[in-house]
Amino acid sequence: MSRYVVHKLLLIIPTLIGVTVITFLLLKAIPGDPVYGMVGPRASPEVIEAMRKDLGLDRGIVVQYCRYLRLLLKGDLGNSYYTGYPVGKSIIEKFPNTLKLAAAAMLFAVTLGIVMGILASLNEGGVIDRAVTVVSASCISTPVFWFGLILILVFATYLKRLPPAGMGNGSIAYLILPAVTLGTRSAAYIARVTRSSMLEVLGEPYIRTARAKGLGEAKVVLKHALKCALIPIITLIGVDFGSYLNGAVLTETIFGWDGLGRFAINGIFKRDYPVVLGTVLFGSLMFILANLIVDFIYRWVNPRVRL
Amino acid sequence: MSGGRLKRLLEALVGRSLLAGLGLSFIAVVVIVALFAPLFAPYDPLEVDLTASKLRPSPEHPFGTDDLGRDIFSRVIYGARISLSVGFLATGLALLIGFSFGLLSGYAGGAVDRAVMSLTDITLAFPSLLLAIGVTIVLPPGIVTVFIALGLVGWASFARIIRGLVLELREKEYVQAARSAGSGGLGVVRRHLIPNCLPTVVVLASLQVGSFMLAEAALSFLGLGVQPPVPTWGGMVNEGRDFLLSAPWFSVFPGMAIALTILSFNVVGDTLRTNISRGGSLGAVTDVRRRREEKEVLA
Amino acid sequence: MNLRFCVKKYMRARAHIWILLGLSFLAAVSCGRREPVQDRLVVRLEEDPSTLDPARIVDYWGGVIGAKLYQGLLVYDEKLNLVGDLADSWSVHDGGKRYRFRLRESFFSNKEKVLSGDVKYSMERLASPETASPRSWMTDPILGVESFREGDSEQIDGIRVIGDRELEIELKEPLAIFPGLLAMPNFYVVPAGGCQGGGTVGSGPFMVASWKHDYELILERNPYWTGESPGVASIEYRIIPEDFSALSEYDAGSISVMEVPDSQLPTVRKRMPEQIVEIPGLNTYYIGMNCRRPPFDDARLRRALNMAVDREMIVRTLLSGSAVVAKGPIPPGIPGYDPGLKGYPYDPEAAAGLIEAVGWKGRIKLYGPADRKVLGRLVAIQHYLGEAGLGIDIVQLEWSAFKEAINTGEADLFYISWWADYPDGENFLFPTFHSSNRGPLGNRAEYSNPGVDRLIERARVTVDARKRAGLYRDAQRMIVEDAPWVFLWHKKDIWVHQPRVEGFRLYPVYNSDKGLGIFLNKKNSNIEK
Repeated sequence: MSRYVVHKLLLIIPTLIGVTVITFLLLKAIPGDPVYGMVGPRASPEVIEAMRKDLGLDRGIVVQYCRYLRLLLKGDLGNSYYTGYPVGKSIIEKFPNTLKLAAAAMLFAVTLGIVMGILASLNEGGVIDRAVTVVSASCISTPVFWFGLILILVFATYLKRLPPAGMGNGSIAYLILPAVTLGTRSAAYIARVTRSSMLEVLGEPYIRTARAKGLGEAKVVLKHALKCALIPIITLIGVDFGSYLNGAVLTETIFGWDGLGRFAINGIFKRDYPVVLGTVLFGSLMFILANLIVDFIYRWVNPRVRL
Repeated sequence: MSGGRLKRLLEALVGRSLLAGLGLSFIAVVVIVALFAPLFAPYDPLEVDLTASKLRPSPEHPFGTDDLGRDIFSRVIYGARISLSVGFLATGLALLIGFSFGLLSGYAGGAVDRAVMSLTDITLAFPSLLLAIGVTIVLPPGIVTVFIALGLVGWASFARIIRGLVLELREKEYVQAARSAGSGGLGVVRRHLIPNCLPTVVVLASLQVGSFMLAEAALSFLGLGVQPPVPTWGGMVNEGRDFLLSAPWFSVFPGMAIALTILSFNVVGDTLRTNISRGGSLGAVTDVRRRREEKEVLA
Repeated sequence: MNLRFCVKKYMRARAHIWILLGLSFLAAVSCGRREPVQDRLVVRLEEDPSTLDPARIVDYWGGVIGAKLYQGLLVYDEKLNLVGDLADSWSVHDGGKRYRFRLRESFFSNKEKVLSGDVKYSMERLASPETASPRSWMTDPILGVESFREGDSEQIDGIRVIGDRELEIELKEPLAIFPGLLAMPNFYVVPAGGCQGGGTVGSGPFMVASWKHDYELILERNPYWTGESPGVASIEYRIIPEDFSALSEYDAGSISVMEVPDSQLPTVRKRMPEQIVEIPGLNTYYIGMNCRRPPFDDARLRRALNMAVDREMIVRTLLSGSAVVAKGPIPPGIPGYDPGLKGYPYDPEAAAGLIEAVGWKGRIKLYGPADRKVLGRLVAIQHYLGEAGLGIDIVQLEWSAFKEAINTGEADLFYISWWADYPDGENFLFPTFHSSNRGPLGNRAEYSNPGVDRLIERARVTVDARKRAGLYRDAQRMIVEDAPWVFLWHKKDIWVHQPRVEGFRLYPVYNSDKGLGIFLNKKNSNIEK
């Protein structure tokens, strides 16, 4: 097991290097020189050249890449072209916001998803089951950005119950709509998986035994069946959480949430290369780590499972 | 296609599910409307008429008009063309790449397998929406660019699943027998591996179409992809964002079109999965797996 | 799956799962609500100002915020007169070639006194190639800049420190608008010897208290400020990218003042007309046409485009009346504006006739920045040009790619705007139409007319304001005749403020407002949550 862990952890390094190479190539292929975005409406060609030199953009792509790697080895992600602010510092500042949103979204998704899943499985083929099926399919099919806008329209504009966007002063009210928007898809998947694994487990002989022993239905379902059914759900939670940690671009854009996703996409639009490289690298690392943790939990819970 | 086969296909797609029946009919309607858009659209979707700016939904304009006075109903109809073609073409491309790489990797093994799998790992580790955005900006804007971008981002999950399947099949007795009987590598691949992978591929593809349509809408929403004024559903939701308070119909109707169409694809895909896995051995496409590979493109 | 085994393992795993869930919940709720701050003006920003380093400021908000943090020698007042900022008094010598300034007593927020050496240092910093400032051109008129830049001289000889609070600036030749340049943010004064700790030390009434990038920027009073005391204790700039959410935040009372986005203007006008403040803006929106290349080397076609677009209609519908139609490049309110200018009224038939006469058949790309607010306007323009017989394709590019396309002359037709750096007709003529400024310096239409060049050159050295305005008018008529731009509109500045905000005014020049006259009425403070 520990050899497996070490092996997997070592594999992260080449993957991340691959990620930086692809990002770098993409950035260089993207039309639009960052310097043009930075100079005002009046700038002489000499000034443009001077600024390009200042940023090191006048060198060849291999030189630029090597420079970036050297910087990385020193643990530095470079500075934003526009603000001159260290990218690493920005990531550290924005990550808590992303984490907060991801955690709230997951909390919502897990609660709603598991409840819906259990209700559906207990009512296989019935009205509740069918309702859950339809609702979860709808949630999976609805575009996040549109759903977010509709939520704002209903809860902020018409009902005036919740703030429309922004992060306010850190109060919970501001967190609700973005978390619901982000978490709905996960909730739907969790509901589906809960339902199917519950159905599988409820058909097992030991559940029948438990029932025959005269245990209460609630106890049977919650204590015995759900326990086992939870394993695939944990996988799902881990994976979703990991992907939310590298920034929910659409949700953060709509709600003006100051997280990594918005940071990254603004970086792309402004051609702020260090910002894009830094956030992509960080995001990839988060995703890989979350997946590894899921792998480890899975193996540890059931060593015979081969992923 | 003979009558019997068509019937079998329909059975697999719909089974006895009312929902899937509805979904399939809705898809049929959308496809027909998209194909013959000029017949169904009451107005030219591009016709600007500033005197008819921001009209509420009414009998003349069932979905209202936007700030440029364009008929939103007609634009939604034409928008179906982009959504559907990107959905199908991107799925096709992702399948082509993913299937080839998966087969290659699973069958050849060794160094080839390691190389392909590390490429897959890198692609999967990448924040996918950002990767898609990157590719979209690099290539000249247009519908071709969008489906290439989505295909390039989406192939990796196919490759992984197909590889797993091939590894499993390779150990099967009949494949082993064929190999020891001296069948050439290509022959085994063609006669045994590909046909046995097909059901999985069909299910995967049917579920993937909807995801790609969502991703296209997301790109358009961010102002990327197909260039305006060509109407796209995601683009229309985006353009309506600023008018959410004063004229919500700009965004509401195109968003509903996206949601309903993709819902139909998902319902049919789910039914197909259930029906096919009931018939054969198909554990590969669980929801966990699917979600895992879909990642945050849609977040 | 072996179920009994699974259960056993699960029991062990369970604790960890609950810890995980618990932690996520804690993370979600742990950040409690912060108390609202008394006596703080909250202003909405659409995005982070890219920098507050005076030498590098090129954007509107950088200038607006910079005005509160720093002082320049001069500043424009609300009637567009130049008045002293750091300067107590000044005098002009040698027919506009030499300027002498006496500084008033001011202190940087680090308690240091502002000396004329600081002024000299700041100007040299702006000019220096090491700074690589995009605005280093502003120092070009000063004597001795070239030899300083090339390293032949340690300093700019034209800037002379006479005493601690006295300074002289000598130009290469008289330049009428030079005092106007001195009021721009890039000439703001920073302490000599560099600014430690973030580089935002200035002598303005406020200083930066905290800056969370992309989230909020908070200014507090500069304790060493000696001028009129500001009416508010602090100013918070809150970054809210979405227009409709900004308006909802305003409704909730958590924003004190904000610029009204076009799309929200009808709603605001209907609901709170008495809270609106508006003034004409010093800007011109236009479609540039590359005059050097076919098809737009033909002035007939350029005139046709001017007649083909119904600007009244676009302003009324798409812009919700937030602009006035432009007849020429110089906006109203600026010396050189010509109320008698006819411009090109909307005349689709004449336009179609001209376009037919020119006989251009190819499709033309109309470039614009990738911004959904711009898109509608581009589509409307495409529509009008299409009706006149020109096939137009819209190309929207991200800001830097767009700027590259128009600066390198790749774009034949492009939608952009020009904003006043200083309120003088020169600013709308020299950079934009003088042939020496073709390309990234501002004349992106690649326009060249020796007659116009001569008029502008004469105006630049004419110190008498009235004579100068006459020259601007003549040049403008020739430019409108040649029509290198489609003159679209001049956007108004429209803001709303909460009833409790008093003394809120708009200034024609964006960096005039030092944030002094505005204050919050405490009686109504319950409105602001």
